[in-house]
Amino acid sequence: MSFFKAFQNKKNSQNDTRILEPPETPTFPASLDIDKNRVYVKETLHYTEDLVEKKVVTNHNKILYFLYLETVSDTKDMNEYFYRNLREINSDEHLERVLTDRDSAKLLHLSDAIAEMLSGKSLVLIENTHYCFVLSTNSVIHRDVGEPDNEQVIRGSHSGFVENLSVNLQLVRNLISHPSLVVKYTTLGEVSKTKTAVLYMDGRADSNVVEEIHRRLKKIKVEKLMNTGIIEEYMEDNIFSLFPQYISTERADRAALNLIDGRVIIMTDGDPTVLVLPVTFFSFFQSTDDYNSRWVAGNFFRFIRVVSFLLAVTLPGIYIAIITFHFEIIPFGMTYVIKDAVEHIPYPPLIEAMFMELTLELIREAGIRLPTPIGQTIGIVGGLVIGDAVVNAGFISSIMIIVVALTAISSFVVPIHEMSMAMRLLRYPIMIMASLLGFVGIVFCLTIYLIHLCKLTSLGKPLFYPFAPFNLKGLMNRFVRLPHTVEIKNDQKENQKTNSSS
Amino acid sequence: MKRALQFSLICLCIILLTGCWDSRQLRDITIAKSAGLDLLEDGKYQSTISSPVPKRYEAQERSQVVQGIGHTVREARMALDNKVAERIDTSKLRVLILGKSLAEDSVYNPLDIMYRDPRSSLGAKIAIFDGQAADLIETKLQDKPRTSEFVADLLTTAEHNSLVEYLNVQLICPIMFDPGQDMVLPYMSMDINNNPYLNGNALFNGEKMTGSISPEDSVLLFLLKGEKGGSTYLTEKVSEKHEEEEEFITVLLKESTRNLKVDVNQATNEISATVDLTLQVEAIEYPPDELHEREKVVQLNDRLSRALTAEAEQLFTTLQEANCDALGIGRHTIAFHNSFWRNNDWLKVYPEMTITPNVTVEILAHGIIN
Amino acid sequence: MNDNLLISKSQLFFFIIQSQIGIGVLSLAFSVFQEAEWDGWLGVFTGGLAIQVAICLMYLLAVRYGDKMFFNALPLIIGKIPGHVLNLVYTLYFSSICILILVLYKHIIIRWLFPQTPGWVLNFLLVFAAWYLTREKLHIIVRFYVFVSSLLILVIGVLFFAIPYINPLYILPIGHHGFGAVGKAVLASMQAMLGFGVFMYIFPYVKVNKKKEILLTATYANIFTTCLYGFTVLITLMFFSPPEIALIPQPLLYMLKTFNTPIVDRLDIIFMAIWIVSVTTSLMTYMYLASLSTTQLIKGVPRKKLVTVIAIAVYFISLGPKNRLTIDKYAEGVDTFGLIMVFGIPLLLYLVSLIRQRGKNGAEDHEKSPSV
Repeated sequence: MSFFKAFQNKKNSQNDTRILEPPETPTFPASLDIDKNRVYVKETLHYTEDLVEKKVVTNHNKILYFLYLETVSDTKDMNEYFYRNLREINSDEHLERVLTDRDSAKLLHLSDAIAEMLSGKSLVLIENTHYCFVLSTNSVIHRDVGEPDNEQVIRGSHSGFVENLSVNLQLVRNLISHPSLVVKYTTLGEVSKTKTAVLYMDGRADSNVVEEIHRRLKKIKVEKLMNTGIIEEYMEDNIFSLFPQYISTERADRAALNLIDGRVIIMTDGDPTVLVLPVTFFSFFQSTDDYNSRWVAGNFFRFIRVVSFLLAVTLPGIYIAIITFHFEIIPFGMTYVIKDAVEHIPYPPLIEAMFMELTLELIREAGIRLPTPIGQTIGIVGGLVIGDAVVNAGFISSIMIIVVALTAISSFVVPIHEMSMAMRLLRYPIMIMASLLGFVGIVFCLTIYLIHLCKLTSLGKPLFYPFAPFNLKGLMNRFVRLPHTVEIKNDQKENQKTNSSS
Repeated sequence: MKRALQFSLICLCIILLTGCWDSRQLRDITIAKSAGLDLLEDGKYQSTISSPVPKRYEAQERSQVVQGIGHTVREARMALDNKVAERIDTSKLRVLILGKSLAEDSVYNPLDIMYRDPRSSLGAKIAIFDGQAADLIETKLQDKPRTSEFVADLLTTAEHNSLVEYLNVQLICPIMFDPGQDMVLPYMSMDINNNPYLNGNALFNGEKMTGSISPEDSVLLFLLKGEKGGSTYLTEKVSEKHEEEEEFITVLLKESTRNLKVDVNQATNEISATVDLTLQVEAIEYPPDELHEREKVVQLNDRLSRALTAEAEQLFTTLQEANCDALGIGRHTIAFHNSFWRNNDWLKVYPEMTITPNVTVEILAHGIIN
Repeated sequence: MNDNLLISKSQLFFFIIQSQIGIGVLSLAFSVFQEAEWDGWLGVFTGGLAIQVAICLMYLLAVRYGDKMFFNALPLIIGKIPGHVLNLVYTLYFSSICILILVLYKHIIIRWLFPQTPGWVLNFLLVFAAWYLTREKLHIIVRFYVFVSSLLILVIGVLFFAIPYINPLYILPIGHHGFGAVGKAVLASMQAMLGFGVFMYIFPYVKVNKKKEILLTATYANIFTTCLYGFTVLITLMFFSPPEIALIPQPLLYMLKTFNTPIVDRLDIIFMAIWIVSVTTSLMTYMYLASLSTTQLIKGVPRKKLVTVIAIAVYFISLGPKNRLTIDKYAEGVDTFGLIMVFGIPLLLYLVSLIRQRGKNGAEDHEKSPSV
């Protein structure tokens, strides 16, 4: 089966630990001949047209060259007074002091300086020296730390991550001002050289997990790394599973809460989404709202979310099974109502359900990429008009419309996007099995799902904890939202617990 | 790659080809809501079912009624199938009506098919009809819902009022099979204007119907059985014979306790039973209005007790004549006097034994006026 | 041994009860009624006591070789070749139970739900689910068991629907049929409870401070199952009158068929859906045990492959029997086989090990055996 071999999961194999840092350009020490240096820089950058070169002559007749890429550098304040200052310099010592004052670094190799220039710094070449300076003139473009559109909460912090890594780190640091918060950088992507940060709280996070994450990060071999989607797949223990084994979030407070819970966060530069690892199945049903609302209400909403998961996965299947096999279980009063509804439908229930579910997926897929006003129109046209017309035309029974609509709404309830995608996919096997074998088929599917969940791990931690392995205290802490004043102590520390219980 | 393709093709084929072993699409089935079974004079069964017609394209609710005849109930059902476009399914049967002639022959034989079929509706209500069950099923009631619903609702209300027992096709089965108990089933009749009504209960001996009792006696019978519905009313004549005006009182039952005792006299090898029934009631209608007087209440208690005891005695005579051990005295004998049970033929013992009822009535309250 | 692969006491509890409760619960009331009529329930409770004796015996045996797998220890107890032969017999026994479960399951589903569906489909689904889980290690299997044990609450819950309609007089007079009949009912009921022995085979996998806790856990599991079965049988016997129950092979399902609730009619269908899960867990246990004893027999083959082989073999053999009488005969044979394997063999092994130990002059003291 060569087809499946292509998918074989190689990231867990231990032997491959090649470190991917090949020198990109041969080293080039700064020459005493300034012109040679200039030519080198220009050649390395292939005479790109956004390279700006400025010549400044100081008071003691030293010639300086400023080189920077105007598109990524912010040179406004340099223009304003820095050049003027330079002109008044009388001695080499003075020059060096002025440059050092301006957040600069002294480099001996021009080849190193090229990389810095690409990230927005300015290169300073000085006549008759064997070194050069780089000044930090990075221009930073970032948008506001506004609330992410897909993870809105009613109450609580409204700040979300942005595309800039340091801003994101700042947001997290603001929320957790504790010395044990550790940030580790790595650079990923052979061409894009994206900066990636791994955050965890030392002492809270399981050191095995942190180690494992670093090991897996080293294995990532891709040319471009623009987002967390690629890291995700390398972090998953089982890439064939329909269930997500990580949480991605854009909310700073959710990330911070997870850090305190002992989880690890992976951020990449240029992507506002961060990854939370390792997770359990029920993390997907938690929202920060739960902790901000009253605890009874919080529990109720959590319960609703779990019910909605079950509904979204099984409801169409149950409907098909009842209509096709087990209509005995419809109570007396309902039998004829349902029979009336399905009396003149030409298709078998499975086709009916598939048609409606696929229509719904179409509407959803079409709506996502459209601007909001048009998206709403799509919703109305799709939902109301098609739904109504299809029933009137007698293609689909009205009960099926109710079932599909309920299913669709239920799948939106879960706060994490990855999970609701999984829910959408999980229901199709159930529908097919239900149309073959009724309840027996549904039970079979659910058994397989459950076994799969029991097998799944997220970075070696059981995903279905605290249900499997069952742990009552863990259940009280993780699943039930207790009042903040009540604390149930686990015998050992939480992470040890998950470690030792099988 | 090729293999994977073949594999997925096979999966697809399995999915597409198989989905029809046991599927019974709801839309392709005629669901019988009420059924009637009769025994015709030539010994053949006649099965009548009624099924509501989907009202989507109909102006008003209506139901179809079809009949089939055969040597067994299944054959009669098959004969029905030939008359209906879709398959007939009895798994949602709400009411099963048996004709009197059938009930007098045997109740179990026609029900056997229901007990044997895993899909049959054992929760269906069952009633005996005085006449041909087909007549009741075919009746078109004016200003009332469908006949099946009418009968089912009628029986539910009657259960609530202790006029009939809570029974369905399955619940009668343990009683029917038990040698120490006999069942009592609702008995329906049709008046001159072709309106069905509840006409008491049919008494059974084993699986054969042997008699019937009136609705008034039915209430007392179920009280004596120790079963009480939510709102049970009793109306009793409380005037003595020598009094000029006839006085009646209607009471609502609050509490009832029954105590059944079976005694065996080893010497004479005779068996006797005592049934003590204590009723705590509330007077809800008593026009003479003298309930504030202590003496009057005591007198009423006494008269009610005597009247009901007399009625109960009468009732037991009827039951014994029908050889219907509705109270399960035989069951008590099995449980507590097993040797007597084994040495005697209960069917012969029961009609001859002495059953002494003893009803005590206590008026607790009398509404908001005296 | 890796600490992570061990199972806890509570997991052992659920492992035992899930292995016990399975195909037998549906017809238990019927089979004990056949032996002792309405005294059958006495048989169930007495059966629980008898099983307790067997549990103690098994514990005594297992604790002697506490740090070894039972199948590993067999050659040590009775010598190499007899040990391997016994291992083979155990494999056959576990496989035959798998086959019996599949045959009965197919039979009941076809009779109650899908008269026209071919049996191979029904069995395939069950075997596939069992295979999918049994490939994993024990600690993952028990995770699943613990989770599905929550369904038992529903099983007990539906029984309460019957309570308004029961007639306690049906089980009187108590003890009417004498000890002989009750004794037979004990045997009949024990066949539904045979899974209690599983703790012996996975002894070293259980993480406890003292070995005695395993005995306690097995006892609690036995009490739970006995009570559940006893309760079920009592309710069923009081619901049906004696002459009727003699006609009904699956009285529990039949009883549930009668009840309607406002939301769902026909509780038997719902019950059957839940019951399938219990059957699957029983099948999983025996498939797991069969593969476990085979690993000792054929060294060097990974257990995952053995599970696949066993699953395929069991599946194809189970397609054979279709006739009701053949099935009954086969079930009887397996039950007798089971009694020997669960009572006879452990007793024999224990005696042998006692004699051998005396020969070695108490070289091994089980209390001092290192805990795993």
